[in-house]
Amino acid sequence: MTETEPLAAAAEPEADQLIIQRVLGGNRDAFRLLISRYSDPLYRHALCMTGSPDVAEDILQLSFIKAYQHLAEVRGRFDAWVFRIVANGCKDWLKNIRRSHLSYDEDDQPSSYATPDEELDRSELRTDLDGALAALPASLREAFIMKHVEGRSYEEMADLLGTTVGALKMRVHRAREALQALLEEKYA
Amino acid sequence: MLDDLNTGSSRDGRESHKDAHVRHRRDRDQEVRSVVEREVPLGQQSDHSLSAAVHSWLDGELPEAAVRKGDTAHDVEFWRNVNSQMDRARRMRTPVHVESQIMAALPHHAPQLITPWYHREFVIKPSAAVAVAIALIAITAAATVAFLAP
Repeated sequence: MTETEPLAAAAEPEADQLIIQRVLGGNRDAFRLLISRYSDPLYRHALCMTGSPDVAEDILQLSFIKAYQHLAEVRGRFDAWVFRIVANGCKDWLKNIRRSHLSYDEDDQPSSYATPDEELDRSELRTDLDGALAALPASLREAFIMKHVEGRSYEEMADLLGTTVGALKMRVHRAREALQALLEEKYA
Repeated sequence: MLDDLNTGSSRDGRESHKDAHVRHRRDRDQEVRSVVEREVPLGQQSDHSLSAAVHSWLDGELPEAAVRKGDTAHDVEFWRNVNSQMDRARRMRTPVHVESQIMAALPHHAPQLITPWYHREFVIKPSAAVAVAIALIAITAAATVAFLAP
């Protein structure tokens, strides 16, 4: 149930450090390696948290730019550090969207991402599971996604979110029960 | 109606496509917003409780066979369905254009350590120290004179 693909290169912090040294030394293109290594799990997190591919792209882009600007301040694992930037970006977006109306940038370019099949998949996912996930408070949603979509262990989640394993188990359990209550009619 | 008039008069096909995209994106974001705004306190809607065994199975601590029978069979079936839905989310990959988009948006200079002023090393030259001391003495003397003057 919780088996997912392992996070790429999470076990190679040394390699990340070498890449970071190259970037700090002026090799800007080396940053592309970090983006390609970590963008997929980060994008999935942002997509599940926000429910919008466009917003997920924006959050990912802003997070990597922020990571680049503050790269000299990285202490410890880069993947954990950049995850926290993305997770905070998602939570900020969720807070802001309730406070104010969305602004629409009329100059936005059409996304090359949406093929009809993908649209169908996304709308189905959105109306079913994403819709139910979106009804959860952000902290429960985040814990559920990290556990069930990203396949992280409670220990890793605790490390990333700076909280205890017990608290996270409680959040995941509450999220499951709430989701089942929300989706049961359709799936029971 | 107004949209039709605008798109039909002076805009070319590319702009019409752009309008359609903006409209599509607006609709989609409104849908997202409506979903986000639906968030309600859990106490009002969730009185469903899963057994500890099902939680343990979902956490990977118990095999499915241990929870597949009896009262928990219904919950197991439900979570198998949910899991199949989540498979799509697990397979999602970053759109290909995003990596280049991020690289293009990065600053062109190498990142540098930005140290707050209160963490920076404070260096003062002897000549500056003497100048500051002289200035302080002069200010003190001037203030004393001004205070003692009738």
